[in-house]
Amino acid sequence: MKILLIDDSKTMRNIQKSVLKQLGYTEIEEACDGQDALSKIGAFNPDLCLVDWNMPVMDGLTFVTTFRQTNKTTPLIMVTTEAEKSRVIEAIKAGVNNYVVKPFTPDLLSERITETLAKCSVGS
Amino acid sequence: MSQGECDLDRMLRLQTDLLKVEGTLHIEPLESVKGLNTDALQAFLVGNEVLAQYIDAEDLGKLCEDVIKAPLEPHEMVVARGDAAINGDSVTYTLTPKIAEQVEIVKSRKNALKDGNIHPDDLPDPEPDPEPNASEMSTDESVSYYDQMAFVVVHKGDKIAMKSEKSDGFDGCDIFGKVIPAHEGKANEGVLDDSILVANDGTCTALVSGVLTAEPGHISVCDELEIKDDVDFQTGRIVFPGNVTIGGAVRDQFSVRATGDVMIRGLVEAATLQSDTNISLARGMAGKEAGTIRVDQNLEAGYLEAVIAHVGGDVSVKGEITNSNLTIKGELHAEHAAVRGGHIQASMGAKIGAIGSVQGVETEIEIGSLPEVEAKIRAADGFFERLESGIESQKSKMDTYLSAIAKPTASQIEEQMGMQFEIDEMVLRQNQLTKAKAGLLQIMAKNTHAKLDIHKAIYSKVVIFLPGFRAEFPTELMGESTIEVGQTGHPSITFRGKTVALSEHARVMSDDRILRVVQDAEALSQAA
Repeated sequence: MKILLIDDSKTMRNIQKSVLKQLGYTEIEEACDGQDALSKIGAFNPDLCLVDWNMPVMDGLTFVTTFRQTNKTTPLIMVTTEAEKSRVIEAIKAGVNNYVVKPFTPDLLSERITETLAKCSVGS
Repeated sequence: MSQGECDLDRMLRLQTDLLKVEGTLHIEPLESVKGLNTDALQAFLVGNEVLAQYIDAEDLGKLCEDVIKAPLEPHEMVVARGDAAINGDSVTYTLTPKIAEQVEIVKSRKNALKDGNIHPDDLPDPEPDPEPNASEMSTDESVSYYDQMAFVVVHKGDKIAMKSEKSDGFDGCDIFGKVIPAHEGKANEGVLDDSILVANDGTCTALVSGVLTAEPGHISVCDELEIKDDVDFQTGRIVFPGNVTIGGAVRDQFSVRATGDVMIRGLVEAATLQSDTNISLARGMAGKEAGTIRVDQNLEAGYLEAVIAHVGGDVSVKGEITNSNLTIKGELHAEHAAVRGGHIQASMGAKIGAIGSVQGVETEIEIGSLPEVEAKIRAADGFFERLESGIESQKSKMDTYLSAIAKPTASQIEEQMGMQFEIDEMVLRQNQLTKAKAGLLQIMAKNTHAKLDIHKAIYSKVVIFLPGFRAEFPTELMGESTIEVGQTGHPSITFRGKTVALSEHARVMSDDRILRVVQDAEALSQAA
């Protein structure tokens, strides 16, 4: 299972990476914004992406919209501080499969990842 | 026969060598050479059943000329040549260039010492004894008679020699046409023994590691090295991949390193001994504070004097242990021996005849310790404390941070998560350290035993180190006694059948030289 972490904060990427490693996922790639993620996706070909919303250069929502133009199946989880209902709906409309609001606990992130993967039928 | 002609046949005689491969024609002095020509000579030879194909017409012509020039002299010449048999080659074994070179070096070394060209007194002091690899030969062109062994040592799998097979040879034929059979080459069986394997291509490989014997008619590898006399300039320093037995002594500054057992019958001086298994010193070692022993398993010795030893297993000494520094992972068995001076550390306890001396020699005995593991436990404790203080500091920082924020921004939320993450990571490491420490404590419990049996006496100025304690004996204690640290973690002594706290017979102080491992909860609370 290959997972791409897209977040401009290295600390946040480390936190997510730590949770993923505890879940047994070791093939992890990192990107610091949407554009960086798009440039890495072709070569890495992830099975799941965790995307932050607010990032410089290209934000998470733009990334999701662009990515979904060519890829409808790879599960995307938005991991963000944007907690308003309208923002959640906006993200889901753009193509995310699940939503995690910061601050999250490792257990919550782990639960959402498992839930998303089960829903999208991607086995580890 | 016409007038003037001699009876030629009477004047000719054919002689052959033993194998009849060569025919020599002898001609007596002739009064007349009339009728003498090559045809006549050839006819004589053919008449004597020499095959025409083996007759050399040119030689016959030359013989004729010689006779005609000097008829009154006798003449002889080889005029017929058969085919000599070519015997087959026997099996031969040729040492590989590398082995041949080593054999040559050892020979020259022996000769130089034998001829008196080299005298030990003329040799420079040796370089400090390195820890050589038995498979490596020095590439330095200068010869060190300390380091260069008087043996060729090979390792399992080394190419020793090349075998060339025997051949049948070619039959010959004598001048009369009779076949001369060729002798087949000899198989030379028995040159090699079971220690060497011959491959189909003739490569001879050592099946065992050991000392090589390469003599005419005998090549073998013996996995045991036996030196009848001393280890000195005659032998050089010994590095051997197997068992070594030395009939004599091991002199100052020489060394014996073996992967197998080392048995030395004579006295060991300030030398270096090393074995991956056991060392047995029938007499003992007078190390002059420079002699060292390193053995992975057990050490047996008649006596040890001024020796530094690291022993992976048990140590048994019959005589005395004086002024030595011994680190023993197993148990010290010196029931009939006196330990005087020096420092002995025995992880699994010790049985000693007497400790110290009437004169009050300072002697230290340390039992129930395992320094390498203790160092790891102490390091783990130190790291755990640093993490603890890191967690406290991070928590306080986070509390201050959160109390100053009414409604956190996105970046503040992330910062807060970062802080919590750092705390979680440190807690995780603490948990890992706790697990690791538990494992190390188990190793300590399994591999240490703080029990000291003394058969005769403990003299004054003896210091005994026990886990968590140091006991000094200001006066002597005569008689059988047992000192131990039980599960409660407190030292006791059984003396004259009565078990009491060690402090009743010795000055006992807390000392953290040896880590105090208390094994059960009850004992833990008592110790606390």
